[in-house]
Amino acid sequence: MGKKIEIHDFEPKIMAFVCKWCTYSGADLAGTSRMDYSPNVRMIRLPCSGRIDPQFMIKAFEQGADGVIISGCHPGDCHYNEGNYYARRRNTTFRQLMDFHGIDIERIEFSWISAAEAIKWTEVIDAFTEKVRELGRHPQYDDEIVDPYAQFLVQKDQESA
Amino acid sequence: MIEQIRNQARKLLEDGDVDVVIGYAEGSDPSRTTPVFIRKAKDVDKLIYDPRCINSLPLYLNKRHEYTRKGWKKTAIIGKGCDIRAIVQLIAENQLKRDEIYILGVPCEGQVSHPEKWDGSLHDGNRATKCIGCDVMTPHETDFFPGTKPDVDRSSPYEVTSPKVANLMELELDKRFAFWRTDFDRCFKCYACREVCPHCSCNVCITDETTPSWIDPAAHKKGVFSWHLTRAMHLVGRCTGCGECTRACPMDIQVDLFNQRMKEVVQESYSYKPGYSLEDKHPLITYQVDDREDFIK
Amino acid sequence: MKTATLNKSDIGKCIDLLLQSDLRVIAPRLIPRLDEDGTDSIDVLTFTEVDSGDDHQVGEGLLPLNGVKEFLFAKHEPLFAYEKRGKKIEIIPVHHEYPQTVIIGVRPCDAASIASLESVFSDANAGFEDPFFTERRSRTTFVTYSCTAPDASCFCTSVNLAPDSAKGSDLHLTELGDGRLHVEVLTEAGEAVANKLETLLEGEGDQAAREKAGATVHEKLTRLRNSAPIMDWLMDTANFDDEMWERLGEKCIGCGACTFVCPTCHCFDIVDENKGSKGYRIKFWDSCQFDHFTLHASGHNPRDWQFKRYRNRFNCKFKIYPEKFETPGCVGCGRCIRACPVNLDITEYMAEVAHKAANPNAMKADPDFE
Repeated sequence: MGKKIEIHDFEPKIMAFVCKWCTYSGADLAGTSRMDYSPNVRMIRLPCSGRIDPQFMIKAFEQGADGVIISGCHPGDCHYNEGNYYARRRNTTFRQLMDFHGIDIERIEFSWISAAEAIKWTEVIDAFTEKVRELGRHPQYDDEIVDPYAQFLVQKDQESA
Repeated sequence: MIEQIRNQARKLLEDGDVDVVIGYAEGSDPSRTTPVFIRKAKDVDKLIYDPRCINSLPLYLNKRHEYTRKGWKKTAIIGKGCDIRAIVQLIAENQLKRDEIYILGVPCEGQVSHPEKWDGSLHDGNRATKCIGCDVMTPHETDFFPGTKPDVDRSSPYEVTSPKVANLMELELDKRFAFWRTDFDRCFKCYACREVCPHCSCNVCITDETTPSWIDPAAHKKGVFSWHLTRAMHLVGRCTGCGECTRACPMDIQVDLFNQRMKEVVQESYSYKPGYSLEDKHPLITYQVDDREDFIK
Repeated sequence: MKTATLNKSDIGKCIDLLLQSDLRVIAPRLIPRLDEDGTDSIDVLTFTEVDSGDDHQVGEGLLPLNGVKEFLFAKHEPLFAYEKRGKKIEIIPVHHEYPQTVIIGVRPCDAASIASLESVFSDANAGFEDPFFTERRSRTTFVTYSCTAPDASCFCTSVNLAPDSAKGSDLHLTELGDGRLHVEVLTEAGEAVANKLETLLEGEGDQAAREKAGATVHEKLTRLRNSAPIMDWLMDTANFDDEMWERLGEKCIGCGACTFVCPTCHCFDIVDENKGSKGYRIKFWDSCQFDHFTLHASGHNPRDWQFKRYRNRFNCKFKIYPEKFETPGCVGCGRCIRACPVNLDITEYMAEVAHKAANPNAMKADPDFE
């Protein structure tokens, strides 16, 4: 097996906030089954998709993420019975809020992935990475926002002269 | 009409039914009014009501104003329809009990958006946009109403209250972002939008938290975006659209456009209008098994 | 003192001349809005950098929403950067730029506020110099413009200023009413700017017409308060617990709008903004109206309720400032009155104090107040 290593000009940074009962276990299964998936994703494990505060996603973008994945148990399968239902409503509105702010919601992916769906996990990650790679560096959250004081670190020529 | 309100307020205070009447009084210049707390029956003549009374008084019912509220076991409050929606929402969120509040409802024909635009009368040129398409000009939940209260059908969905929301939605993403970027450039994070909101009720706001610091406190673009997105998100399904955040903004940033847009989203997705029912839970703390999930893979 | 006249219509040309000599020019400008704003929007006038002489509102409108404060005392700026490597922390210096700046169209109240800021940030006697402020101050020239139409919230005459005052100004312009401006060169920095505008300046100024124009505007100010007894009354510590503080201040909602728009408010906070193992230590505007402003680490808060915070603001303006720095803490621009969402009016406090000072034995204004 093993994919051919491709070299790209742009490697997107992708944050994944995942539920520990389903998606994280699914990703674990993908790992133990030696499946390949895009290494661009950085995962954070949380107790439930209902624990994913929109603040996390805002923070991820402002720290320079190009895309964010939120994932948890399928409806009806939540370990806490209803956490993913709240997550669903919260994200329905949050996406529209980001859209109104002018941020491309193609960069926020929501997916139900169970502990058995290792293949779905690899597919979602690969497809989303490809999509974000095509979208390119986040044009809205540019360097000025991600690092507001970067300009202050550059010594100007006339000062050094 | 104001005479009837004054008489009722006087009666309530004389009988000891309420400890305080929150209302409007003349402000420090002729185009402004100010909130006033009437504790003695002899002071009720200070109360006024006209199209300059745009302030949302339920703000003072919020638990944040603990000190101002000390000793108020029962409070009477003069409410326009939009203010009463805020009160109803506070009650629905268990921030307030219905029997602690005596609502003196007033009919409303709209309010003047800015004191600078007050010229002695209310007209299309100075009416606040929140008043266009308002369905609570005759208030819904009252304990006292001057005259007879006509029945009003409030089942219809909201109208789009600001043409600007529609305008912004028509723009392309980057243009929309550019609009906010220029507008937010003026923000210096005075938090007037937060303090004036009847529904911001956290004891410690997330932006004041330091361990960890979720929102950068400085007013650079990162901190400002993060603040306004968070503020809007925390008000989804709870904002009753009083527009006070925009009115209070000293730099005239139209922050309530976020809330208005979210109001539409909540209405489309969950057919929910905040501030009309004492029992309904706001949409983000409840769910339906068959909620829309067209965006989920 | 050199005087001259200038045609009002030539201000755009002045700005162009200044831009040509590589100066950064800041002037009041209208912020462009989207179409069909609805009636909720008003014209937003702010001090912003201009890039051509066509786009400015010098002498138009009253006061820009922001003061000139932010061009001397930045809303936020880094002090240094740091990076943690293993157990060592490396401090990385940051480089600020201080371009030569001319701020044109400053109203007299805003110009007078500069002295108040200077006394905090660059008082050599206090043994403290804020390098960012002093560097910016030394490279900034203020071209002031007398007021012609004060509004209902203006009260500069109550704090010993005037709508045509040239205090704190380098170059002062006054409308003479016939399309000409009276130009007063007040400092060396002002003279440097005047030299650049030489081709547009004409002859001698008209001192008599200038005095007359100033006096006419003076009469338009309706909020006249006597601020003379305020400081003495505040100095009496017994009055610190006077009933008026709570009575007038109970409606205050504790937003910082008044302090942020105030041209003399100068409080700031310092935090570390972290990102992984590196970050910046930054300085940014803070407000005494916030509940955590005086919150101690122990949990104790000496200004525990909002009326005490507003009492502090009033004391800061009318007692602490004059006592410590001998400069006025309040310049009467009226921004706090316009910005306040609940119409808490600083001149009402002034009137109340003046009344109490004049009638020391009088009963409380409302004896029934609890």
